[in-house]
Amino acid sequence: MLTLFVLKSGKAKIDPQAAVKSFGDVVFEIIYALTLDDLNEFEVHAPWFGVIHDNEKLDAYLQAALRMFLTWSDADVLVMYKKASDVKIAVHRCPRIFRKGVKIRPDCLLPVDESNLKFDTILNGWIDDISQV
Amino acid sequence: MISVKFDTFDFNKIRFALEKVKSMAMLQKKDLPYYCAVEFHFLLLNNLNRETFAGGYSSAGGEGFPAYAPYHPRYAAWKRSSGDFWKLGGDLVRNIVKRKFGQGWAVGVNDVKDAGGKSWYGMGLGVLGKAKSIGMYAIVNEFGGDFGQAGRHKGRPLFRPTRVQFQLDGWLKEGDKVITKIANSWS
Repeated sequence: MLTLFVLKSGKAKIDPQAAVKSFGDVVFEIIYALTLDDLNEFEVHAPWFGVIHDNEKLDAYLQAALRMFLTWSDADVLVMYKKASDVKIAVHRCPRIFRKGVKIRPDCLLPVDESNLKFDTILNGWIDDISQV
Repeated sequence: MISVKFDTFDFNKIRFALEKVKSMAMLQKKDLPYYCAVEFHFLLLNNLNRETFAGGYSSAGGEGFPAYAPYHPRYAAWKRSSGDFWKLGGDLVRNIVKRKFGQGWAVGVNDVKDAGGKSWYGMGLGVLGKAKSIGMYAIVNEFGGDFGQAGRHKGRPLFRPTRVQFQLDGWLKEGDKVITKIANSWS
């Protein structure tokens, strides 16, 4: 259902296994990526691809809702909210799941040509920052 | 010798009735998600306006949600000046919508920016607060969390207890209506 890219965060406290596990059974294949360029270079074999940093994980509520969105949403990009407590801006809006074929900008985790894409937000739970737990 | 007389008039009546039941079942399959979305939307707004879960909620199925933590007295007093527990400017309640979702219907929050002006620190100082994402305050209200400098907020769930409530009651009633309509289509 989803090809999952696990991106290096560069943080001291990481747990890539927890990041992958938090997506539950929707993960079809896993690719460990070093840079954003890798997201466009590797061939995706599932209808969607997701991106998570190795210091993040989805909470149980978000995991439970994911399959429904992957099955029913007609969006090109699914956005999630991330909670962080060590910075001034504590809530981040993160586009993290993309339909196969969407290209990612090399400078940030946003799609190329975003004005022509349809976005949907999953408000069913948080992306948690493992490095702050 | 046994003889069987086949009445084609009766046979056609039964065939026609079966066809009507089949059509009604197909129609209800399409309509049920919409009617559920309408009822769930209504229940959600009702629970928001009436603060149904302020005292906590525990379903018959065992799923429980804590009582709403009280606001700080000064914040509560300021908030009462413009709305109530779940409402401030009314942006969230206006953006709880039902919409087509895949082959069905869903109820959720339009994650757009509000008009700003909601910072209670800013009142009287000329700074009324930046525009914020409505989805953001829906998710913070629902789940709560520790947001560092932005404070520690207790979750005050509305959507999840409403979903449990609907599963245990509204959904079953909608199912019963569908069964009645299908049964009545036999004639």
